[in-house]
Amino acid sequence: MKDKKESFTRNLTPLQLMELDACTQCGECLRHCPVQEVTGRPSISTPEKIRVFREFIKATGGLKARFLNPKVIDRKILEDFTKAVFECTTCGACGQKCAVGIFTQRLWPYLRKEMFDRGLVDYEILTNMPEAIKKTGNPYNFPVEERFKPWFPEQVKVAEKSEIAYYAGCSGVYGAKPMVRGDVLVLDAIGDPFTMLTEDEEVCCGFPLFISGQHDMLEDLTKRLVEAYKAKGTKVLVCSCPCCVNIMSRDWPAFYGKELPFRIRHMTQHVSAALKQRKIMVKKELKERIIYHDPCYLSRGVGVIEEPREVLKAIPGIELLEFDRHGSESRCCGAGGAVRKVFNENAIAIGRLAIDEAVAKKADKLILSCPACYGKVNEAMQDHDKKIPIVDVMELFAQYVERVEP
Amino acid sequence: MNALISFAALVSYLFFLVRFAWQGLQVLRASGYAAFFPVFLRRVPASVYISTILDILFFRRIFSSSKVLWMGSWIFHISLFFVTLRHMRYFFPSLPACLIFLQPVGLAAGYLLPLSLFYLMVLRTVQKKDRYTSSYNYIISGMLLLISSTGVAMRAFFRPDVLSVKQFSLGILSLGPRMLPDSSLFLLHFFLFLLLLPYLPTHIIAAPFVNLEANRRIKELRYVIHER
Ligand code: SF4
Ligand code: SF4
Repeated sequence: MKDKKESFTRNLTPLQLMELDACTQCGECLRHCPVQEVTGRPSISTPEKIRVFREFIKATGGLKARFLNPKVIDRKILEDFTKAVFECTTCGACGQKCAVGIFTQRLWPYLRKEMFDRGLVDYEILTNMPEAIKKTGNPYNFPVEERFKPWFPEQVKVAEKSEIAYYAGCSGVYGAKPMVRGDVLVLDAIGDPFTMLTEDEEVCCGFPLFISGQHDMLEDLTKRLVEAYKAKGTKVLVCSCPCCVNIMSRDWPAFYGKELPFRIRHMTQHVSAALKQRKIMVKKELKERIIYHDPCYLSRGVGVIEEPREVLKAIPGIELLEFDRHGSESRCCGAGGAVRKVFNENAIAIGRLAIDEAVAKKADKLILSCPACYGKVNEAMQDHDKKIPIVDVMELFAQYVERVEP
Repeated sequence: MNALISFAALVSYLFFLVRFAWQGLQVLRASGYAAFFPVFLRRVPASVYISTILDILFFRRIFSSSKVLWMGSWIFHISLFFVTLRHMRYFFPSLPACLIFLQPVGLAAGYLLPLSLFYLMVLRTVQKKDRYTSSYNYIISGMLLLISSTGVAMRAFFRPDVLSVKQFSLGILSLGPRMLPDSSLFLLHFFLFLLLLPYLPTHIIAAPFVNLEANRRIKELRYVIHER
């Protein structure tokens, strides 16, 4: 049993073990990695990380290690690997283009967990997270009382109980206020009553903990949130943050222990359906060329690709442009991975790639739909020679939407 | 000497088997032995199997990403496959009809194999900026290049006595050492192969499973959050 506890395979599923083995080391994924694009360092690339992790497995649980002596892995190698696996934005582009189809967006959090469990991660921004969530409900340690007040539109009424519930999410409420404000205004325009948890109840969805490999609190957070929405009679939980939506739909059922008692919907899905049901419409024109950036965890993560475009195209006069890499092949904006503050230089450089392409395509606006992208791309534009107005999908749509009175 | 070579062949073959079996065992252990099969035996639509077969046969994922790499990679793997089939003639006392039929294809593949390897190695060196190569890859490719080049040299210039090669191979299979063929090129070719065998990459077993899962995932992506 002892060896199982110490094995580098203990956090991996059988499929993930096979994935590690399946990497042909062809290096094809490097061309699609945003971190490679801005650093050009193959030593932190996907095949190298996979190769090194295979070495860890071999050194501690391989044939030689079992029948002769396990190797002691040099601490420096472990630290370098940890840094490499955290420098990644976990965007999953490498897996999307992988020659054999390794699900890297899912693999990295588990390799990170292994390094966390071994006490090799000391980024304060991550290690402080569990405490911050315990204290304030959010991973950034912002005051609870400022969760909704600074941005929530006064005229909008929230129902005590309703089949539709809205989860705003920590990154949006503290870092991308126009985005969550837009969400709520559009929900109000749709006209169906919707409910929300109170600022004490709406805690972190668990995504930053999951992605950084700290899984201890996840079951508790999930159960708290699911039970709270259940008590409000929720049948559809609407959220606009791609990361929240990703963990809610992919992982919450596992942490909750059974199927969720409600459906998860991305905000653009909800709005697109409302447009089709003619609950809302847009009459006012916007004669502009806009370019939409697909967030990795929304497009590659849960396959929401058409709906944001449907919502944008509902505004008459809009010309919708596309990035060279879009849809499920989109390029990360640099904000992913939960440690963007540590690897800020990379994040800014990657963010500028999106800005540059949008400007080169002569777009009037760059449309985002993720609070992390929103914060990082805005930051990337500071002191950059190219400028373009950055707007969230719902921030824009809220300015044009009109309710269709029955 | 003959006995020694036969012994070396046996050891190399054993290493190869144990290594592949160990790799499989690791996966089974991680799943607690029981959970592995349900994962892979769950119902998968026929279209996912078809996609996987096409991916494996034609390397479609690489094709969609880089035609330059695809050309080298696909020709290399397909050549290796046919060259392996051609070599079967040394291990069957009388060759099955299907293998007789494939002999000319195997011969052509024998010439393509070192060319494709050389192409891939040049590609990796020229496009260093965005290509990744581990030292393991270089070693395996280098050894394969040597093995295939000595194979071509034997076919084109320094032909060993095919009959004695066959007797030697059959002898190894039956653990009854026979006379070594009188060809130093053959000895080199065979020795390099023995060195390579234990180090053959295990991805040839794992990759098809991973590819099947990837195709299933792509098919299911639509339904993570959308209704069926
Ligand atoms: S997940 Fe994204 S950032 Fe990380 S290695 Fe893959 S492509 Fe690069
Ligand atoms: S494309 Fe896939 S198989 Fe090739 S090096 Fe990258 S992760 Fe490995």
